Amino acid sequence: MLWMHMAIRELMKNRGFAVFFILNLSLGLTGFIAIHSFGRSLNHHLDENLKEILTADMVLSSSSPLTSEDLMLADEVLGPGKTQARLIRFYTMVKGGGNARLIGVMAIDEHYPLYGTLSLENSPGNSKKKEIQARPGVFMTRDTAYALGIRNKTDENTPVILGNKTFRVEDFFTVDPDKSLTAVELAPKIYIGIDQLEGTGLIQFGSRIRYSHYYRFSRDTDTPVVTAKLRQSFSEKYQGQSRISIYDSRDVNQRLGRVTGYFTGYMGLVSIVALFLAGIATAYLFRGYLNLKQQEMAILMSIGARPMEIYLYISFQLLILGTLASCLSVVISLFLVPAFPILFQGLIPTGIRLTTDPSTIALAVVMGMGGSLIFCWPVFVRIFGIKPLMLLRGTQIIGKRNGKRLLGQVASFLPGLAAFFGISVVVAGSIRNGSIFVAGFILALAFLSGMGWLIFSGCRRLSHTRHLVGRIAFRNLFRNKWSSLSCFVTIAMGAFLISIIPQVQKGLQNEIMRPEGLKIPVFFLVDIQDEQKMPFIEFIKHQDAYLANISPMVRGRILTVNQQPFYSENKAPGSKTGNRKAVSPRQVRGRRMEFNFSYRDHLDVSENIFQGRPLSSTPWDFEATTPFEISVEKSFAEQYGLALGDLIEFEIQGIPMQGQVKNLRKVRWNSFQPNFYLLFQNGVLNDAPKTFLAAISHVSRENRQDLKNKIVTAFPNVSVIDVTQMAGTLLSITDRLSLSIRFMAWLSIAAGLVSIFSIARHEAWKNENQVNLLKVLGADFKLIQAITLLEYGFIGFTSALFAILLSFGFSRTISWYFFDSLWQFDLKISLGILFLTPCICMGTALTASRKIMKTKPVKLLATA
Amino acid sequence: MILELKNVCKSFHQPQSGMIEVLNNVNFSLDIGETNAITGQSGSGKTTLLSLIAGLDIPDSGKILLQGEDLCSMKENRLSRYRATKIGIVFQRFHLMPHLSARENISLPLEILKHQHITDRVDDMLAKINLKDRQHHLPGQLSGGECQRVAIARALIIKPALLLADEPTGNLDIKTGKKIARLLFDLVEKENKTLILVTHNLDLADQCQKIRKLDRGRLV
Repeated sequence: MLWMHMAIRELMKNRGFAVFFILNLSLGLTGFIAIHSFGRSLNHHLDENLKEILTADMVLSSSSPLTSEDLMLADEVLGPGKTQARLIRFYTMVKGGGNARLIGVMAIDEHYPLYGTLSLENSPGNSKKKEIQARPGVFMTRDTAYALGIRNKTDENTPVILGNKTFRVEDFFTVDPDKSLTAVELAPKIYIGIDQLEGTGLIQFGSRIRYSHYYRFSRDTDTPVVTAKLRQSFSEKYQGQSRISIYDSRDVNQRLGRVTGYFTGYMGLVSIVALFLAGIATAYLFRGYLNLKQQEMAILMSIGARPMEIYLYISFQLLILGTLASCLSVVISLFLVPAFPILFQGLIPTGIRLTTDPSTIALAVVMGMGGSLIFCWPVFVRIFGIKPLMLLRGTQIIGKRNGKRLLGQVASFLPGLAAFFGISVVVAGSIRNGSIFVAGFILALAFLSGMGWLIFSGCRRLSHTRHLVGRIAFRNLFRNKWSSLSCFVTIAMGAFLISIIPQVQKGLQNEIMRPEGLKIPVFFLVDIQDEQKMPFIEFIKHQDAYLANISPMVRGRILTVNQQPFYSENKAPGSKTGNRKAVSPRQVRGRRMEFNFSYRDHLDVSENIFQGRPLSSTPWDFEATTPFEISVEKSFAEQYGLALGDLIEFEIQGIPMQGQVKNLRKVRWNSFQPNFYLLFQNGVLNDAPKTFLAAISHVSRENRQDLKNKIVTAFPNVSVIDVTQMAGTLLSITDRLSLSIRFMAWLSIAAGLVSIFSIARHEAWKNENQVNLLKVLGADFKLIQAITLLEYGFIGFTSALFAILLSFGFSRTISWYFFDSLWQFDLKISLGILFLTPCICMGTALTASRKIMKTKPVKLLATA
Repeated sequence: MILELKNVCKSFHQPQSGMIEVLNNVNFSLDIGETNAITGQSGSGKTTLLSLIAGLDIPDSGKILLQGEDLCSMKENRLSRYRATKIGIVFQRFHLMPHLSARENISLPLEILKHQHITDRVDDMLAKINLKDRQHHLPGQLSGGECQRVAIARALIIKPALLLADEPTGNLDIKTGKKIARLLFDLVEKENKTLILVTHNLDLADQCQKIRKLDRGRLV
């Protein structure tokens, strides 16, 4: 009790230290706690609403209609007491209000949705369900209606044309029954009766259609068990090559979690930086506090306190501070969390109730207490060297360093590094990503620390000036190298984060909007039928547009790779070198059963061979005994472990055929040109039933909608994807991602500023005697102020400069790795950072040290 | 006999001058209630000797026996307990806990020992040093003399077997120094304590029953 009492009392006496320690650590923890709190709220929402989001307990889905045998098998396995609904889903062009645009069509039966209801504006949903099966009516949300040009009451009677059939708007949804993530959808959705599909002419060979059967079970059914059983049954029936995918609410949960996981993962990693910066400052503050307290510790030891009691007493203080910091971080995060649904609008379900649950508070407390101990541990170990003997000698309290102590000092950094690595891996979601982040972070830290050390060592030279302000300021920077370096690294890391995000974002924008050397098409067209090819080419000739590319597409399956089954449950396919990776059943389930193949006379400008030779232009002879030649895309080859020379057996329209990999290609997917993972030698697919993909460019902005309308009228089954619109969607997602990261980066800056404030305050306090001495010698307030301004302005400027240089290096590397060397220098932001950082540093330092600067010099006599 | 030093040697390594022998075969003993002054020039080894007797450091060779127990064989925790129960130290620079009041500073050793009757003993001690009216003041609010009175009280509160004082008047003016010295000797006499006083001040040393002089690490 004595030690607890003393610990609390001492903290009360050292309020300045305690407050800044708590503030620093809490700011560092806040981002982390806010993300966790939001994640928990999201998970809680998903747990409670997954069935409503899926609209069923389980779904069977396939790209071809399920056969009666398939449905009978499902019936048999799932047993009695279930209800069913059907949905056919596909994308097509819809004309409404004079505008044609790509729309996701949801053709539903009268039982859909099995969970939740159709919330309609004008009538109870279920009363309309049967009606829309009987007559051509559509449902949609007001947003979709607006996109189709139906904007007010008078537009509501506008016909909506789907393929060859005309529909009327029946009603508007207040809430879309399909609660998918709207921001990552290719197009808005409309709902029609499943019986009304007939006559639209939209379901043709090669059309990309998803046929789904929804199931709702009785309450006592164990859905995961039933799902697993059904998967097993279909796997057995089709010998592991079932085209039917089966998923339940857990899969939806994972899918949603993956999307938000990317965002929260990046934000989490940036919040680690904030935590680290706060850690530097807390360790620095603790160092100052310990310097102040080491004599008292020696006194306590001299009157009989055991060393262990002293360690516990100091640890208890750190635990108190950590706990208070965690409480404060929970409070601050309460204000931050409401910003998350705004940042993630369209990416997460709506209506999430944001709460801070006990697990978040527990995490905060554990991280607060653990964080304060771990961050301060390298400083804490100095206590082990305290010798009360020094009280008699009047020399420094902490004994000299020997080899053992030096080793202990080095080892004291290990818990922090281990914790940092562990948290990074957890937040990044994988050891690889976590390690990359930690490696990058350490690299940045090492670079900045090295540069900082050189700069502040060089300050000795700079202090050889006649100018008094410069002489004192640079000497201070040199003498107090550790505190200068702490400030430098803290500010530089914050500036680095702020600088690198726009650099990378700019690269990404360039990548999406205008990839180097490529002309992005205006429209991308899918589902052009074989018999429509020539009329389509003819049609485009008469338009003010250019048909950039038209490529055949044939669907087929891969049976074996080097005589090994492609759909093995236990192993991924691989090259004949035998380098095959083990895969989980989930990965096997997620593997595509069908692929799109194509052929072309010459490669597109968006692709190039990086390994192997071009495919032979001689048409392959079906009677030949040698395999035909294949070109494989790089990422596809990496994913499935394919290499040059591999023999692959395909099944196309029921015919087995064998090909050999002759080259590996690199494709610029962002070119939006029709590209394929697998290209076959000329002659293999020429007579197979196929559809065509096309890209159209050179369409002026004014003519785009008109051309779209004309295509829809002439070829109602062809889907036209507006590439500019899609790029806009992608950019909006990257913008949101960038915004969410910047949101956290600003938190890092805030943590950094509190650190500067704390360090500057501590330094000012340490230099109090020097300040008073200068005053006694006749220096005025302005001169003392100028010294502080020069010190912190110099730290701010150099840290910003090196942070910008480092961000150039990092963003260039990222651009080279991810965006094929597309990199652009953002001069405005860099200049802004270079100007603002010293100003902020000077302002912060001035505020922090103002009180000390204003002390009366007479204090010097009192302390002498 | 309460304290016995047998052939105590201590040397230190200094980077420039190599090994320096600070204490060389020091032998002496003290009886209960005896007051001893140790004098000598700066660097003669006075403070080192005091630190060895206080258990703050260990000799290179020799034995230090307090009430028959050998300090040199004690581990760190045992030494802490030894200091807490048997040794009282008065420093030249007082070394009070700045955030504790005079009363709390005095009671601190008893609290470390988890003593039962702290209040009565502290009241008694405050009366003896005549600081009852200033008992709730922090060290920063006390004069140098008052601080040293608190330090003496803190050293004596545990009723130590041995009281060690390192230049107890060195930080005080002559008048206050004399008052403090009187108080120290009065208390030592009243409580029948054994005192070892390290000082340059010959007037102060004269008040002890014995004066031992250290010269280059040897008692002369």
